[in-house]
Amino acid sequence: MSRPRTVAALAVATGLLVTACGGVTNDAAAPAATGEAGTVSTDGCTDPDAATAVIDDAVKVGWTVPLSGPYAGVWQQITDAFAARMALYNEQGGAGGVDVDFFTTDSKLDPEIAKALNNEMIQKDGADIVSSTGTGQVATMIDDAAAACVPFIAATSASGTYRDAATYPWATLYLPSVQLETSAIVAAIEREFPDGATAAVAISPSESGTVYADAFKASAQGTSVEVVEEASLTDPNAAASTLKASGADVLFVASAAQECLAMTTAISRIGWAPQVYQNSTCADRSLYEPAGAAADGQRVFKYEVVPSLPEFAGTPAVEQYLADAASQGLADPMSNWSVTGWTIGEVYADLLTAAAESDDGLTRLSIMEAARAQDFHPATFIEGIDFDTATGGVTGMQPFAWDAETAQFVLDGDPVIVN
Amino acid sequence: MDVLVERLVAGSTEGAVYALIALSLVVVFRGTGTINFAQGEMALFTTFVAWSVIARDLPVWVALLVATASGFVLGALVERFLVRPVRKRNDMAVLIVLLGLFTVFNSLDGLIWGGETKVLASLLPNGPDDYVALGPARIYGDTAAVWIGTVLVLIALTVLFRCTRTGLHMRAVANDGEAAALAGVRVGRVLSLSWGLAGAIGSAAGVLVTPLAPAQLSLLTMLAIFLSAAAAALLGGLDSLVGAVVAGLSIGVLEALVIGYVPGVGSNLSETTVLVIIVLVLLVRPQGLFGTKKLERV
Repeated sequence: MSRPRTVAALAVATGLLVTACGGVTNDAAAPAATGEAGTVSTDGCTDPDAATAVIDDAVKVGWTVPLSGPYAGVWQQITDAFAARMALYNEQGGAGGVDVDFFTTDSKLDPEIAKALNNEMIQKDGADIVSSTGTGQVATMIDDAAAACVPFIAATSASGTYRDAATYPWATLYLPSVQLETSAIVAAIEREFPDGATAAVAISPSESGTVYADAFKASAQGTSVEVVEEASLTDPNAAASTLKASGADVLFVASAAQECLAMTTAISRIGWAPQVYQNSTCADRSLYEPAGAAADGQRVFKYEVVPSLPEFAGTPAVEQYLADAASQGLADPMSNWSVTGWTIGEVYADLLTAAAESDDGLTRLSIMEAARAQDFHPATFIEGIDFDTATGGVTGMQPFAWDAETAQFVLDGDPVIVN
Repeated sequence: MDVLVERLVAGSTEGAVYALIALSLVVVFRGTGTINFAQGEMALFTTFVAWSVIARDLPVWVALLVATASGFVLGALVERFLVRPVRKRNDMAVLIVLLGLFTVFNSLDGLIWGGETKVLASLLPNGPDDYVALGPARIYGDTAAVWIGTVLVLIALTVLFRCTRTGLHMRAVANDGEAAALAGVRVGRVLSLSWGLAGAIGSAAGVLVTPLAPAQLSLLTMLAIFLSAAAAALLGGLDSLVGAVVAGLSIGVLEALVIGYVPGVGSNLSETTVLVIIVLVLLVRPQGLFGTKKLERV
């Protein structure tokens, strides 16, 4: 080959291999610092003194999240909202007079990069709390944080595995568990199809997609919902053709962000109109509105308020949220992602205050103990749904349907409280 | 059978998308002997420009014209002020500059237009009922626009390269710039024209293919498309217009069939499978399916 062709071949090959091989891991080894089952201990910590030292300058909170790539827009909004909530918390006195110092690093949605950055935040930056997003990333980071006895707080993964307090006492997860969500979805399908229903599953080629799909299949077992076909979302058009051929009544989309939109478009273009259930990571209007009429009637379960809906708009909690967000200059408080970031901030504010008021004062250990004992109602959660780490975090969800005409989610039933 | 037809139509549509972008790569290569790795992101930039035009309530065809003109200017400027100065050193320096531009344009898009997904209107109607049935498959307006666009660009470029003096000058410059200059060809102007033309084609392609893209108009729209388009240009022969189209269509159809019919491999390794096939073809025909074999006189 001539030189330009050789260079081109190398570059294209590298690009395609990176695309093909990116981002799936399944590392779930037991962490080092585990005490009695379910209790937080500094036994086995690499630096036990650091875990019990009183934090009196600033609580360093470091997140490793995708700030470039497909989820960059989403995570920019979430981190902006979280930063705004922490700024408000600092203005209001912080954790017993100690401010939160929040910083982020870009995981590029790569588990190995996330792991390296997480260790850097712990060892070099001296983070008192770390967190991340995505089951693949969480899997590579959670043990390192536990070994260093650095709280891994409110990570956005729906995995059931990592919310097991006995095995992972130094971690809590923010998203509702896939078991909770998929059992709520299966129950909703049974209500809609009392004579039984067949279901097809579109699965994102990622750890999160696999986790969601497996949970849905497990939730369907023993019910009148039969999973008849599944297909990878590597190519939404191919997946749509495969799943359409099954003639399923229902399509469950086990994916995230733009894949949800892509699947909606793909099934519409081949003229397939099953009842679609998206997972809660797709619960933002930006993933429905572009699809137009094709997304009409799609269902999704949520647990945070939707500020733009009349049912929530005038409530004191939403009014307060909007006023506080405005006071911090938050750009788009109506976005679902902003609500998510703000609510994670609520979780942090609650546990940091509890830790600061504990007998030991504000330490990494007291922060983790406070996180493990957390049971409260975040102001931006739907009424009746709480955040209770003893039962896995989010305690319930409420069904919504997308209304293409008004470009809004509309309530589609009462909250389903599972925990 | 229905599923097979749907997959063939989806695959050939995807292939036409690859072919259209691949054609812009071929134009740069035929005109200057360089592969523009920033082509996809330059096209994305001007597609965002088109979106901004449409957001001002102007028709899609106006946006297409604005994007195409912007693409021409952008391509020519990149060549004149970034590529030409470093090209004097070596090809690798140009490659690094272009890879740098790849990230610069993407970051610029995010800075100007944000990370949220946007919808770009199609040149031809693509609503739920705007399709023609081809057996069980549906041909929507946006699909037809890509197919028609690919054919028109292929014909126009073939005429340019085969029947015009400008095309002859472009081929001469790509072959041997110094010899072309000695023969009176204004090399600098030809280089800028080649890059401008490729930029214009890429920009028009961006406007046509975005309504079909799974990610719609977002910072990711062009990444996967460009990788496959570059593979198509390579497989087709880099200097062959017909080769780019045939290879683009082949890759699109092959991907659709591998994903659809090869369990396990298809879901996770479709791109790798296609890549392996391309490598095997290039081992047998290093110049690609339709590329010109390079002869050296000694």
